[in-house]
Amino acid sequence: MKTRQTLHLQASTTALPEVIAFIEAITSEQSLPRNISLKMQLAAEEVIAALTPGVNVEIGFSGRADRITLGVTCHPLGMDLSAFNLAWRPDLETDASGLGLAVASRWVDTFSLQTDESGRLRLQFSIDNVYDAAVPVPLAFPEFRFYRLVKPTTENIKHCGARLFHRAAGAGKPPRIYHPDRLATLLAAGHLFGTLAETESGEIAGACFCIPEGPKLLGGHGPFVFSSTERERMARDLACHTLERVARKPFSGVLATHYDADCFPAEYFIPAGRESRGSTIGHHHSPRAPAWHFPLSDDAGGLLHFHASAEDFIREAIAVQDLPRTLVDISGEHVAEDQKNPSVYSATLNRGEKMATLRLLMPGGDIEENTDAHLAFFRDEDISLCQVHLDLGRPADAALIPVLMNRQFTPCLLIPGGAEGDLMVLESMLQRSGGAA
Amino acid sequence: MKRHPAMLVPEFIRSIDPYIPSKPDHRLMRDYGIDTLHRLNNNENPLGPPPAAVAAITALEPRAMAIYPSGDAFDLRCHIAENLNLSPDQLICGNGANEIIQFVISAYCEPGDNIVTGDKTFAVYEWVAEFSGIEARLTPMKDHGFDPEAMLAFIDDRTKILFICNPNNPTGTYWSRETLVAFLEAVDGRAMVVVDEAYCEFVDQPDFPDAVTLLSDHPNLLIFRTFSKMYGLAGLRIGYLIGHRDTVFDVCRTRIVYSINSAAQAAAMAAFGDMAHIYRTRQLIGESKAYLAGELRRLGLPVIAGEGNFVIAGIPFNDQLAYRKLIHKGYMVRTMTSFRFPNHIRITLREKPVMAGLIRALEEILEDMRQRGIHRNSRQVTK
Repeated sequence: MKTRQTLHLQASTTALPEVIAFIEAITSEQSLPRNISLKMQLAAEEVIAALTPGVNVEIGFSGRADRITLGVTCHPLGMDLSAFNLAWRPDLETDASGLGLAVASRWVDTFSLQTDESGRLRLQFSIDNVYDAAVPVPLAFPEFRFYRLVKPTTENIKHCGARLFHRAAGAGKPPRIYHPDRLATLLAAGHLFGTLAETESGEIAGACFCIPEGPKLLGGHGPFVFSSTERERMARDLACHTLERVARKPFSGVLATHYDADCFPAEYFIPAGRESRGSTIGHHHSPRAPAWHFPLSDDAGGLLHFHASAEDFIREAIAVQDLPRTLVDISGEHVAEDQKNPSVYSATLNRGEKMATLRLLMPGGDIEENTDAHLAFFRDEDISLCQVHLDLGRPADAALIPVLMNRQFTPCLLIPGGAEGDLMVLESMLQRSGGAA
Repeated sequence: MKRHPAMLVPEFIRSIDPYIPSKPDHRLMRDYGIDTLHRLNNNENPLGPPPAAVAAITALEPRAMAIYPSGDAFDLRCHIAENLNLSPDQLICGNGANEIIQFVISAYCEPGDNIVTGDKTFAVYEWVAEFSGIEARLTPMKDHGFDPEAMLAFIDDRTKILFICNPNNPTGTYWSRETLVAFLEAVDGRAMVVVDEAYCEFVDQPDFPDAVTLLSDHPNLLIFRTFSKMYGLAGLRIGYLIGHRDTVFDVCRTRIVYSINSAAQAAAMAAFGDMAHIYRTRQLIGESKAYLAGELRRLGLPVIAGEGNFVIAGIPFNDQLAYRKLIHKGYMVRTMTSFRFPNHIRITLREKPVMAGLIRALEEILEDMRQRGIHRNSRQVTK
């Protein structure tokens, strides 16, 4: 699906029929299930109803292979943003206005909230396409003498996906990301780049590919080698090809977290920090595999804000990656723009993988309570891994470091972003019975 | 109905990311704040063109530029043919070898066909095939060289051309006469075999084949050569193809005429066969290669130093970073991720003082990184 259509209007209850008709038309045109249409309608209605009448609103759809997203862009006049915190709990006697927003943002698979340069909010409500067709177990890999490097096609990526799907399942990992239909759809939509190794008999013997994770970063998958022979050589060829194939694409780098650990060509990559809790699904299972970064664009330098509580990690990361940075120590400074405002987190909840991701949307005086409330909520939801992504180009994000470190979060990655701000990832394993692990 | 221009681009073209060449030297020098820039990125001849070519260029009459050049480089073809004991009808000249690659693929391939080549070689074979909607079958290198068995294994009924770069850019490996003959016999006329000899004049090895001598037995053989490397005429863009007369006639069906300017034709004619220039260049390159390879190894860097006027070095950090650090010190090298050698740089061989300066710059960079704990590669990278 590669559709994008936009509706412009002014917030008003009288505009709701037009909004509903718009969403009905789009979802019908895309043959999307009725429940997706209804979820989108709810989201749009609640946003519009929460705004001061007359505020300009832009509503748009964008389709990616594995999800459809409703975007609503507006100035947040009249809107209680704290309702978007997943941990927000209204007092129904006095504070019910945000309830609809809260419900809408929780009912979808992914919700994100960002501000643009002019202070407008961009709310995104995404619903994942479900790939649930049965995946036949592939036959044992046949012997071969030669292989060649090929581009993925919708056919060969399905063969590759079937092997990866069952390897992931066999390793006790969620196999959904490698469902053959998902990979084929991502490829067809131009969201998967990479290389496969094909033997002289046409079997897919190995794979390495990248899938965009956000606007700047490519997620690296592989190399995976399905045979027991030629593993190192093939892994190196696959990695070299894939890095070349994405080298001219407009991404800052590739972050490799899923790969066959026994033959991963680490010499081409840069350690991106401590080990990630995300595990490989490789030939030799490694529950805590290192994450590796390969920069795709030259890093011209930029500001990096840090707090003393993570100084060692940050200094080591920028030294290892040789990042030209001007370091700004914000320890002891009050950087929240307005301590009276409530803080707002943008949260992504992936129940399938029992993982949550937090990004700071707005700093505020209640950040510690808000953080605790989110962690408690995640535990209640049986989330086992929580990651927080901080943009160290922003002082307010860096100020969050001690709050997180005090809650047993540990830094694991520093992904270079140059002048646009480096991304620091902290994570914590959550235990249902209380306290971060 | 009006359509956005982008809608007119075929789907397979939209997936291609454009290649962005490096900026001109004066812009790079301004951007990086440097007074001197040594170009070590494009395998240019530091001695420049042979003296006769310089004289031919100097003698060009500006008013003559109003006149179209010979549409098929007639005089130049006759001159080369006479020197190689061939017929002029066995040659086609082009605006650099890149244009000739296009002629050949256009002449032999149609949608559904494929070409077979190596995966770490001159990328233009693969690019032109892809631009033309032709599948490029890439076989992995073996010991940095083309693997004839693997190439043969992937020939099918739709294989039209096999491209071999001999010696190979960027690894400098080459097929001996014995290997090339065995390969041609195994192909047995099922597909065209292109031997790109862009760097052949640099090779001084007894078993290196003169492919021209194989033409009479193999009408499916085509040979590419260029004036850009040994003859120092890269700025004029001129190369040529040699083949069997009937084969060349077929390629002529898709050639672009009038694409080689008068200056290029005149300079190439004057340059061709200047053995003194070739010896001088070989002498310089040989000494430079021995020095540079030795120094790179002294620094602990893996080296691939085969035939040709270039050397590859593995570096213990990202090649873009190496590019940035070296250009700040006045040396522009080729980053090799684009050749599928991540964390490698290719260095054009030049005069020893330039190479010594590069080594000093590299040594400083490595020492700086070592002190900061960045010199982290523990594995041999150039396997």
